Amino acid sequence: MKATRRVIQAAFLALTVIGVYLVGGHAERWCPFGGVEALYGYLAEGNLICSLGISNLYILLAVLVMTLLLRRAFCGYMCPVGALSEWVQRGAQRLGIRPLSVPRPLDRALSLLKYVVLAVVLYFTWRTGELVLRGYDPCYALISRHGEDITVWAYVVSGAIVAASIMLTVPFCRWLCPLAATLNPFSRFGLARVRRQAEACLDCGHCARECPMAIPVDEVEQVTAARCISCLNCVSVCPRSEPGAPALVWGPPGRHPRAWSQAVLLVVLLACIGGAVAASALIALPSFVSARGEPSAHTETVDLKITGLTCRGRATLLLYFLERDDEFALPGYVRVEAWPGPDPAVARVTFDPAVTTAEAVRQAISAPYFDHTGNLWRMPPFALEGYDPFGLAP
Amino acid sequence: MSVLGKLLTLGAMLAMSVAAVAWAGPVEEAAALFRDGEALLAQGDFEGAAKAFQGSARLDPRNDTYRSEYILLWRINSLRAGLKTTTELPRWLATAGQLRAYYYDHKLLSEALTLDRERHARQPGAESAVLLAETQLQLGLDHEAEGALAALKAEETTPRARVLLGIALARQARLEDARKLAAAVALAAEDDAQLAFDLARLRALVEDRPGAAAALVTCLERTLPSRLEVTRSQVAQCPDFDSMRAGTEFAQALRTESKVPESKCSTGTSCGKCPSRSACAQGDKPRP
Repeated sequence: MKATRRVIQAAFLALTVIGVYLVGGHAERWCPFGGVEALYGYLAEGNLICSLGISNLYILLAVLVMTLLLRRAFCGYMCPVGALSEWVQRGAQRLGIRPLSVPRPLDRALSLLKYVVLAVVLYFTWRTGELVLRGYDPCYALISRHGEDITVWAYVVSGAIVAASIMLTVPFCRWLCPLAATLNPFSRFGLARVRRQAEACLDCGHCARECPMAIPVDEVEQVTAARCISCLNCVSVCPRSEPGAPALVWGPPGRHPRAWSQAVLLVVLLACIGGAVAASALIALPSFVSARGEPSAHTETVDLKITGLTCRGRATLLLYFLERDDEFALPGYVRVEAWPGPDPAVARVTFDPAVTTAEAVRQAISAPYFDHTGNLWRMPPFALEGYDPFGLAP
Repeated sequence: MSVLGKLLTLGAMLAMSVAAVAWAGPVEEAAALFRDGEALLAQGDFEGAAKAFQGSARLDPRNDTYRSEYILLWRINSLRAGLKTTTELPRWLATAGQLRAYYYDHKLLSEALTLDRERHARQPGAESAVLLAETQLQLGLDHEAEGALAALKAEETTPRARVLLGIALARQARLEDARKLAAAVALAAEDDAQLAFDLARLRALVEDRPGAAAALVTCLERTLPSRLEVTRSQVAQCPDFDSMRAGTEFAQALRTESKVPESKCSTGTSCGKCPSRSACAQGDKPRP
């Protein structure tokens, strides 16, 4: 069981590293905590925080479903920070460094810190509408290839996590991780759980000692602690009093404990992740939406491939050009949906054909605009693929 | 190295040279064409300049300057054509204002002068007289500027008209009259950066250096952050400041930072470092 988990952790870490460093992928768009940060803005304003995508919401949904079924299995099997932290400690143990035992009251008190971290991150993110703290984020330092807004503090925090992991078992995951704080309320109601059959238990305490989240498995009938990461370390080390009668089983709730194999866990994990990936590909909801005026009875849409629509700020800028007040004004545009990203990005403009035309939409986006406030000309930073009213095609 | 090795090396170098020339050729040609366009524009040949800019943008499509300058000139040419046929005065005035901004940005002051004269003829008043005098002063037509502004009745005149009149007089060595005008104008909280700039010029001409420096500070504080460098460059190039250019207070005033909040897209790839991101997120419409 342990070996299987290590292989899965290594596979997801390798996938992240390959995706980021070899393929050059935008791993930030697959971070479930990005979905937490983006949720408020998307529900309130219809647009996502810059650099996040709708995939963040799908992966968040997948992780929440996963948590309701398997508790915090995401943390135990997929999170790269958790994996690295565990491996550092395992390495330290091989060098003869034994982890410190944190008294239970102190552990409980420290575990409240992650809610403070979550509250601080969400307060500043939702207030500013931007990932203002990501420059300090150890995970972002890893997946952004030293992103442009990374601060030295991201590496200080990373170094501190590694250093603390030498002496303590997964300290960041237990006490500080804001995603853990998000998942805990869902994990509390998680379906799968470890159950202890007192009559078969030898009271050896191996299970509790082996638990990375410091859950007193040997003292409970069933593990309902929200922090359980379904690592199954406890089950794997449980000595059986007699063959065929294990003291610990992992499976669904019920009067008669049924044991699920770890394969069930893997299938659920992969199904959830696969579902998120498939949803992102098949149901590509726009990450920026802006509606104007009353919806018209009859509307048309024009899909535009736009160069320069790189972020949410630029998508807001697109509105500025659509809402211009010169002869390229668009009285009949009613809605903009955009998928900002690398060139060319996509935007869909809905308009009332009785009042305006698709050509007018293209003109409005492409033509220079006179800024009366600054008394100067502003050039549109956009170019429309396949649209060349200026005769610039070579 | 074998003969074959030498031949291969030579061949590779030749291929690289051809590729470099093939790549550099259009780029150089585009740059030359763009310079031609600028020269044509300076001569007032707008159509010829547009063709040259278009050619440079076609030859070097990755150059944003060529593309932007062409598209903007394309728009300006359509506005110029529209101006000739527009009969409705408010529309004519709005178009003239847009053209004038372009002329000033591109230092096409003789075009601006023609436009300002026509504007003053169509709708004479303090506003048009100020615009006309401003261009005349830029072109060194100080006496004409004095004429345009002195013709204004006392009830028509504005602080800016008085300041520009003062500049026109000071440049004609009528310093006492200019000083009286300078003393009559004080900057109010609602006055814009342009008036502060002109007042700084007037005070510099009448040798009130501390006053000029103070007005310069106000000017820069009231300038949009995105226009700060342009304004500093204007100040640096304006001959009216010659008498105080060597002083430390002038250099110190030029270092003044803007106090105007500005929301605009920083045109980066992410909002992560954008100084306006908070305003942007709160729905404040950014300026392009």
